[in-house]
Amino acid sequence: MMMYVYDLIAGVLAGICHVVLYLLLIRYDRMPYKMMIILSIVFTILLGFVVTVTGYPEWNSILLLLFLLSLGLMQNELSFMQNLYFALISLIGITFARKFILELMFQLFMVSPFNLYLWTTSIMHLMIIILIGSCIVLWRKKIGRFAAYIESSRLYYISYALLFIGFLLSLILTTPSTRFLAIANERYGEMSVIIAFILFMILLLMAIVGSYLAKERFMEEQAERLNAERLDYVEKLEYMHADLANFRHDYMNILMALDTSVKAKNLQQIERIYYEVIAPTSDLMNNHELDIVKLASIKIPEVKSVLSVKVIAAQQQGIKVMIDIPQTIEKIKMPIVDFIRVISILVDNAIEEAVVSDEKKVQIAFFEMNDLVYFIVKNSCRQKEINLHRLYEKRYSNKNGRRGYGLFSLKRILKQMNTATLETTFIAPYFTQTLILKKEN
Amino acid sequence: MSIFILEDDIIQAAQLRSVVEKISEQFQLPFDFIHVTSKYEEIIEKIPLTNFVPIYFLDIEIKGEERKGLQVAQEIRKHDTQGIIVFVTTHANFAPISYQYMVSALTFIDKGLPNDERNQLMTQCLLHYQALNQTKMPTDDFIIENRHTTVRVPFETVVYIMTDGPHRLTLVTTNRNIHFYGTLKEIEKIDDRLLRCHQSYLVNTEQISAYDAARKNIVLKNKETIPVSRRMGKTVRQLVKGE
Repeated sequence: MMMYVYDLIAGVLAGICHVVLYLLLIRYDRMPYKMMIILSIVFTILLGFVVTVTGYPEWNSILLLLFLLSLGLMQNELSFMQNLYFALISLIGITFARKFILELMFQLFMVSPFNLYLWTTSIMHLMIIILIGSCIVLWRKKIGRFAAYIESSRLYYISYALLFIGFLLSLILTTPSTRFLAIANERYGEMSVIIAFILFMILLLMAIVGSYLAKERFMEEQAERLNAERLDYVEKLEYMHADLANFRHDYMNILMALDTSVKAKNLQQIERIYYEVIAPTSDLMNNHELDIVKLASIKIPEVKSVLSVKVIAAQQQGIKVMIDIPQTIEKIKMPIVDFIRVISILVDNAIEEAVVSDEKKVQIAFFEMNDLVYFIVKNSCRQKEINLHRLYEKRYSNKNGRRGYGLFSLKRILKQMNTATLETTFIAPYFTQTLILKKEN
Repeated sequence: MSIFILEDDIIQAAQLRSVVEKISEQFQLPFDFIHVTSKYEEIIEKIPLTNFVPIYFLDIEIKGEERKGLQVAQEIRKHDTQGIIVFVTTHANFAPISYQYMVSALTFIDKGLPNDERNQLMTQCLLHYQALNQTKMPTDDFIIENRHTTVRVPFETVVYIMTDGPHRLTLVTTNRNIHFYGTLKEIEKIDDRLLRCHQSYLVNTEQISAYDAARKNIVLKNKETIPVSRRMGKTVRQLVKGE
């Protein structure tokens, strides 16, 4: 009796493993755990029912594949073929892994002095599936990275073909009842096992190589990005320096002109120089070009460099940027990479919108108050009205279809950060985004 | 009214004073004293002497220090949490947001504005102040406070709250959307004027304008619609009828 319970648990766990692996591969992270578990249980029971009633075990693989594919429809960033590919990986990977590890354990068991009971295989099954499940959970980050890499690598097509063969083999190996498959099973059964084993090993090898390459590329990209940022920063500094040199040059000229007039005691000329040449420089002093110095109050180097690059880029596009950082900011209670992504999206959006607006203004405030950290970006807008709801929809963008992923992915990052609150305000003509982080105590 | 003016430029200080006096006369706003100074210590000393909640006009840049005004405001806030703070500055059109948060400043007035406009702004401030002093309205704020977030908005601006992903809520007010961590279950208890009209919606009953029975929708004052669950249809209908 216990044996059936073990089998049932193993079956449900296997279902969950398939779903989790698949969702990791397609990088869909919005499914709540409860929902995932319930779905898997219901599906496993349904599968068991269908297979017993119809007597066709091959439904197992096919239905599972269809089920995974239908889950994949929720993630519409990937094409159908990619979804199919990942569904196949989840299906073939786990099915074959189970099969071969079981075989291995069984052989080992036979050599060992333990008694073989009816329930031994069931227990083994359960252990294996728990092992696989914990591997998936343990490597969840790697799996996501691997999936992102494999999509665009050369291994994609080769492994696609292999997976397809694997799928056919898995159909043959399920002791099928369809006449054609049954014959195939009878004739090529043993050979299929061998081929499947080889296939599995090749796929495993590919997965290992792929994940290594994925890591490599990830590091490379990061290094490249850092490098590019640094170069950008230096360039901006040079630009600022040139600006300053210009101003100094002008200033010397003004002084010289004044000098001669003063010596000649020509009050009229002095007055003229004051109104025409000197007075306008007060604008220059006030136009916040030098506000960038205030970024020095940020003691987190990554944040400072990202912000300064963006601010200078905005200034080059003729935007007036005002920076408001009243106190020094030492650290942020949140993963720095996520924080940078969030503020980059906020600032980029503000700049993009401000460029096309009449006023061309962006204001960035960053400060701590009590146990809250505020990061506020305010920008002038072209629109008279903005639908705040639609702003976060995936394909919605105020920017004429050019993009529209920014705010959507912003929300996605924020989903993982419980202490983050995002406030969106529009009071014409200013659009304000306020990110508030609460320090947990 | 009790009025403080902090300004280190003598000419501008005198000008501000005369403007305030003129406005008070024009609108017949009585004030018990007006104190103009360039030393903030004087203001702090005199706060306990005021009969009314004071209004402060502070120059942001005192003696060339750009942030002096803020420090003064923070100092004032230690002694007086209710007074109205108005910053007077040379570049108010994009005034520091942090001031508004840190010392809850009412507004910013630009010194460079033409006299008419500036006087108008001053008038608005003083009238607002007068209204506040007379009515002493209790603040009706809607506050959500948990381990992960602190949200505070005037209750009358709350339109509805909806779930937006697991453990994520969006509070929709008349002019902003606030996206935060929380559950409707916890929010429901905060205020009786909120109605759980649907599994994932909590509506401010004061914002309902009609009930569309055919579509099972609540029509809000801002013309938006939100769904009503079958179970709550009757309750909502009665509510709209005013029963």
